[in-house]
Amino acid sequence: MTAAPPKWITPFFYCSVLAALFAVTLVFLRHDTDRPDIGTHEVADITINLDGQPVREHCTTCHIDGARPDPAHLSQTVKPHPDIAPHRIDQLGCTGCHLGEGMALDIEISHGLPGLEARKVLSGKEMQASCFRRHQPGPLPGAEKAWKGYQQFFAKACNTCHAISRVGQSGFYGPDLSRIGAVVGLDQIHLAIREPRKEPVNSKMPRFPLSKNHSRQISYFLKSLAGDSFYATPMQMQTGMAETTEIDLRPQGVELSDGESALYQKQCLACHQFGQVDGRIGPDLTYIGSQRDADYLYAFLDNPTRLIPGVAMPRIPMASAAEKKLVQFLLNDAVGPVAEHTQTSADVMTPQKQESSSMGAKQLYMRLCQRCHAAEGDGRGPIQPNLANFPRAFAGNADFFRSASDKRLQESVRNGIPGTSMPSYNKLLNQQQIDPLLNLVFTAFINLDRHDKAILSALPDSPETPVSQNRSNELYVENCQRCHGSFGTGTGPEYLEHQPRPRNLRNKPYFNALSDRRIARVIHDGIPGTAMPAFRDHLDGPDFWGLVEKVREFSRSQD
Amino acid sequence: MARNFLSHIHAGKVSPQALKPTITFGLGVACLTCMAILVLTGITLFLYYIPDQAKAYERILHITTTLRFGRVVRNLHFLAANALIILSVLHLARVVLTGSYRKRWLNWTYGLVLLLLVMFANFTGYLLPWNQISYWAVKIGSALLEYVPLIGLSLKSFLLGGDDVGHETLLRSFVFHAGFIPPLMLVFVGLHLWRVRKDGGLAAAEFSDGVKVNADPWLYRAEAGVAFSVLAVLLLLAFFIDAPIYERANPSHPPNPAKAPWYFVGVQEMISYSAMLGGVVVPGLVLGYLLLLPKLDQSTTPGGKWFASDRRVWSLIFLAIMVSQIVFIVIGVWFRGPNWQLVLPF
Repeated sequence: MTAAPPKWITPFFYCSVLAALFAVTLVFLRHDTDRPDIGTHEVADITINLDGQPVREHCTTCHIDGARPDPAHLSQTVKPHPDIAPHRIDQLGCTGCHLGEGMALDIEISHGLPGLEARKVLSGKEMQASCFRRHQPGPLPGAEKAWKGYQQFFAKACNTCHAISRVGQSGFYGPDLSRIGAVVGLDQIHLAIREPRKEPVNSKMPRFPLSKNHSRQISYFLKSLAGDSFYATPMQMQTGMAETTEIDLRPQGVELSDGESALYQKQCLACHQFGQVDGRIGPDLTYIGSQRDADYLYAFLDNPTRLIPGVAMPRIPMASAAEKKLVQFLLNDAVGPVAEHTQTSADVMTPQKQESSSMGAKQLYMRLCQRCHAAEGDGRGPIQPNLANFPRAFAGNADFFRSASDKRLQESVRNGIPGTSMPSYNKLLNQQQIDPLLNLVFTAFINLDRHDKAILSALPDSPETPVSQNRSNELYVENCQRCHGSFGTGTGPEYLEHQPRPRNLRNKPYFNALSDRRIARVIHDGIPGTAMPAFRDHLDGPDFWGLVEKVREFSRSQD
Repeated sequence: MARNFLSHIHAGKVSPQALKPTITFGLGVACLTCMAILVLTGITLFLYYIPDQAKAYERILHITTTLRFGRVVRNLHFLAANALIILSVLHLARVVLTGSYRKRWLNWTYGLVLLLLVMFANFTGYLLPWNQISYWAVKIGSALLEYVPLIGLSLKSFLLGGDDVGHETLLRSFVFHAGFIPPLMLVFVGLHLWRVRKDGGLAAAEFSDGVKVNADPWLYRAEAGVAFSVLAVLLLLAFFIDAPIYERANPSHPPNPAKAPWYFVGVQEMISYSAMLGGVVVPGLVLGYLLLLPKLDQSTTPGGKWFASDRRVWSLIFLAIMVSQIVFIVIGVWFRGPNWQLVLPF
């Protein structure tokens, strides 16, 4: 038996056919409305030989003979391409120098999409960011800024951390920049130099004191690092045998000893201060010969992170003879100004001149302490962002200084704090200088009587049978891990939320110098002025000592 | 001849019940239309595309901006591919919620295989423009495979042609996408349609009087109506929605956050809560549930009835899975910012 068919089917069928016909017609009529209006021109399609690769371009569809088109009428040009002899447009094409996406016939896409902007079109002054893709860096007409950028790159010691393939000896501490120009845009490079910690926020790169002009110059140079060069073979590049232009970083017209010239040539002063020259990134080296001994200096140059874990300074490769000259210079020749300095301070310290003693302490503070601890005493000195450990804040930190014994404070100044950038001032300052300095810190910043000390509660006794390793691991995970990290490196999930940052528990020199009781005390009472809380109400006696053992385990472990 | 072909794959007479739009919503035919559009636009794109790291991206730019109809063809391919995923899942939902899988386990399985093939085709096609988003989406998507127990790593290196997304991956994706999956899909579509016929046509509750309607022309017209509607909708959408073009792939600079293709973002989102649960247990259970559903469901109401009361448990489980996946995908796509932090989408 056949039933009556549903009534809706036929109208539905015809409507859908009409709709499809309408859509197809629309496609035929309107399919090219998104294309730029190029009038009666044909799409230009040229193939050039670039780097031995055939490269296809549609650029000259709008940029006839390389000219700038009228934005309103793309078929008319308003400004011809400047003469670029001895280059020839028909050999280089457009994208060889200007970048962009030659295969796109779309105003937005062909000029580079937003994002990393690796292919964003270069024009005007930016053109010099392309010259050293092919030419050897040097004084090249038209590429003056890029050439200055090359010089700045070495003057600011960028190569000590970043590798670029054309330089033989370069660092591996930061990202390799050999192809940086091919992967990010000019503006991104510029931003990364000016705001290194914007992205990623945990970047260790210091913010160098560079003018906008200087950083722009460096970005011109870096943008030109886009792959293999033409003035050297890949083998020469790889082995650093390419003929690169050496930059003399020594001051002109000044006679320097070998050791002192090494300070310039090995780019120490790009970051450190020495006398009047200041890189404003790292600690002052003027008195380093009196602050650290020869063994320390050699060991530090050999492997900076072993002595100060997390330090920003990379290992600087140096021939042993050159290293010896440098260290000898720092130890012997350079102590001249130090001696003078201590002598004048000692003069000031005669009992008759008590009045001016605090003045001397102020000068000392500004000379020796403020670089890290800040003129305001809040620990945020000019080089603090580059230090591995936050300098102790004085201002607003009375609770900490109430709990730290005067003996400990004096010892910190005299012997320094191992595993950190705080050096020893034993040779540099005598007791008559240290006391006023401490007094100054107490009166000017801490606002506390130096003898006003808190009475500390008793620590639980060390148990006869320590808690099991499992138990101390559990305690660590529960209480410490989110700041100090699973491996004790001080980089737990929350570490960026705290300033001072959580202590790196694998800092061997630091923890070797601490007694078990000091560590237990810190866990027990916390550290005022930091995020470290007191655990005295949360943990039992044996648990404290379990955690102390866990900390010891981290700082003992080999890294 | 076309009519002859149609007469072969359709029953001569169908029940008026089967022609009721609310029984199927024409989803199967809509899927089939998408596939046809994909094949046609795909062949066109095939003429211009080169699976080579250095050239792929430029070729896409060329197709999209320079070629006549290039943009429309690519948009249509992109839209049909995404519509196919959505429509296949809706088709699956229709089959589950009307219990049409009853006594049709084999065809149900063919359908599941087709769904997996659709996803696989989409995933491999995702990489081909070789831009930032596609490169990193495939990187994330293939990393999700590592959670598959036992064979995860081998599966990943098979798909990538190595440990990482690279030249081999591009070539492989192209071969899978354009050479291997389409014929395989054709085979399974054939099997799928053949089984519908073999299983007695559409699973629709029969009229008691057994009165039927001629398939020719009524069923053909209804199906053609759906097909033309889908074509019209996709063509019109192709004017307003452009297939995205991002920057060239840059293996050294991941976007933050890097997201899998949207249909896998649900899994990525689940994994962000628990790798084991979200990456292995839940997908495993869902797949197991789908595969065994016709065996598990012992209801007696014939297929074709929406939300039959004796199948309610199975329908609810399915709805729970689907709604939770939609919620996870929405969170993952719109509410996840840098470092997978929760953010507002505007």
